[in-house]
Amino acid sequence: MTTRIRMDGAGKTALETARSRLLIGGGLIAAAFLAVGIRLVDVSIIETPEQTRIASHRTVAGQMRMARADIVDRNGILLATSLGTASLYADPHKIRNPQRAARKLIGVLPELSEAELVAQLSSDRSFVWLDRNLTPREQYDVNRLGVPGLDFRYEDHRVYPNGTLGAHVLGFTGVDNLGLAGIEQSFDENLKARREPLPLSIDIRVQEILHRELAAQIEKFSAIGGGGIVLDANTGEIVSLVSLPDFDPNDPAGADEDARFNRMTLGVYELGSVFKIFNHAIALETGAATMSSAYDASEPIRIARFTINDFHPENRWLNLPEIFKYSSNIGSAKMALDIGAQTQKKFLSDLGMLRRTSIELPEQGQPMYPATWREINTMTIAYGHGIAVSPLHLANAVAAVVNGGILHPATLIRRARGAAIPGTRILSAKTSRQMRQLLRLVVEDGTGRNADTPGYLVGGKTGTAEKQVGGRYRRKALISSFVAAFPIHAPRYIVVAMLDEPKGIKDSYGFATGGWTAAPVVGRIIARIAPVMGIAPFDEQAPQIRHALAIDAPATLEQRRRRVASN
Amino acid sequence: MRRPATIVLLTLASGAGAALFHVSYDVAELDDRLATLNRQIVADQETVHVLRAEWSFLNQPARLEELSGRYLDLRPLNGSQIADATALPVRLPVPNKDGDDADRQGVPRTALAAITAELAGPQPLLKPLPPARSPARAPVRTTARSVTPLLPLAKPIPVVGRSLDDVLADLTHGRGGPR
Repeated sequence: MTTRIRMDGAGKTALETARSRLLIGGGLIAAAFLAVGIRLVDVSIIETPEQTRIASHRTVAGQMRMARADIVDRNGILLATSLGTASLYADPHKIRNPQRAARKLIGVLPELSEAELVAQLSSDRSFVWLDRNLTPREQYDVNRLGVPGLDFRYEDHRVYPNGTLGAHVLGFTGVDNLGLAGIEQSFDENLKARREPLPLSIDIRVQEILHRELAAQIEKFSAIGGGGIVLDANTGEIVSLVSLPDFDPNDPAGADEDARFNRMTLGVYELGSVFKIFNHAIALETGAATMSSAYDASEPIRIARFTINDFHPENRWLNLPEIFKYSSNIGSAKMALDIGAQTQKKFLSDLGMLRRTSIELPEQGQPMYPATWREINTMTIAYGHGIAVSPLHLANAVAAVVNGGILHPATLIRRARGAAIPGTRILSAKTSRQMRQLLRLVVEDGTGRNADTPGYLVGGKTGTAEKQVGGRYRRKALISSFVAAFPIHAPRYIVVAMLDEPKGIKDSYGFATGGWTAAPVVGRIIARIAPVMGIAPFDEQAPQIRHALAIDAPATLEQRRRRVASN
Repeated sequence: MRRPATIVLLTLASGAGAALFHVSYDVAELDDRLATLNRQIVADQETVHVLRAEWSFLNQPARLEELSGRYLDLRPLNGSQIADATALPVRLPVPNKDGDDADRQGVPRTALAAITAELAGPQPLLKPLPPARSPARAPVRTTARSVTPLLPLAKPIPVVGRSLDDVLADLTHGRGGPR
């Protein structure tokens, strides 16, 4: 092109061309700036919501780094937290006088050995660990020594300030912050991701009371273990869960197998007569029996190679409340036959007795029950033999029986206030009311008298079962339990206590049964936790309470006639 | 014609440059401050965190129970210590010194007068508690056994050193009693 200009030689044409080229160039640049300007306006003024969201996500304030979120109880009291602890190391090359440095260190860390320190500090390495997990105080003291060549590394360390309290619920973590048991394991991912503390349904105050009372009772009766549960009857929240012996989650390695074993959720036991609660409830619900039905309990039942006996034999016809009150195996077995195997199995299944519970723990026992549900099984299951469930199964199902008939899945996580509580109706409100009357009868005038607590209207049922070892029952090895609900006219909490192999003592006249070992401790637990939970005592003689708890059906004429005939 | 424009433009450019310089220094300084503050916040958060753990450690229920047993005259709250306001007997007015209680129909009137007087009277909201007891001193008078439980209730009820009369006076004011 330039050649052409030169060839033309005409100045005017050249000027014209230059002008138009400048215009084009200028126009292009102007268009580019305009585009930039428009984009600028678009970005800074006409913001789309999405972009705003991205922008505001940039956090300005500093946030503490946390390896795992805290775990708190239902009132926000800290149960588990991660603390950065300092571990002391040294670079021996930088230590000029190992003897002096060692002597200084012994002054603030007396548990270290001086000879060992000198050896470590004069070694030919450039990194030696001297002490792990120092307290802030110790760290401060070491820093104050001003010895060059000493330094700290920071590690996260899981701390359980309440020690053994709630150990089986919380579980523990390994050295690399991996949850290895309990909530720490089942919420491992969640705890690593979340920032907010995880609120459990546990109340640490109730936990302490349960722990103390059970430990005392276990010692009194020389039991090998035991445990207890406090469950909110209307929400399914576990307020307290104690399994003894227990361990310190701060030092899980120091605990043996038995201490780590959660008897309340992982252990399944034949629980004995407490199952009569369900037997009676099913009979009343299905109409297989009414409150005034009566059964002949005058003679033991012999079936196949078994004999079904009564522990407190009355040797006469008993009506439904009496069967419950005297805990008659014979009467219960006969009732179960009227219920039928299929119905019994269906209801127990509905009550959650044939599957694992819904709680958030990895330690959960699978119930054991007969594969083929024969007549003999139906009869023994009526009084809690031939079926093994965890004490938590029992607590959860009893809650459904007394709270009006609705089964709420048990949980260890606090339910948000006002949140809908999941539940399935299993029994009618009428059956539930009748069961409450029967449970009160046991404590007022039956095998559970030792659980009575003035003002708190305890209702409950005793259970005593022989432990099976190698397919045979051992007469002296008992599982003694008591399950209670209070206040029974409008239950708030279910309390379960279980003792593993208690031995009879003089105070209990040599008995080691549920009524003598577990019932008194349940009574004491209720007396102490009720004021803590803000439950005012009730006037037991108040007409509306007497009315709610009076047994509907007195003995019928027919029944009396039969009783006379049998005597 | 070109000179003034150039001068104006140069002034503007150097002004803008200086402003930019200044702003960028300001930002760097603010950034520094932000970083310092953030470090401080994190350090404080860590301290709070450690203190929370220590607080929880020192407040273990078993430890509190032991300490309370050693230093305080308190027992776990018993159900029989809780009463309903309606269970208390009706408070009758103190008869007049002049013996002006002959008017039987006048009882409700005097009662009402007593209550109105109490309502109107400039009573302090809470009676001052007796001075803290030092271990060396003999126990002070305690009419009602303290019902403050070992484990903290939602609302502790101060009853140490108060007579039933004080409780009743509170009740007539709509305070006290079980909540």
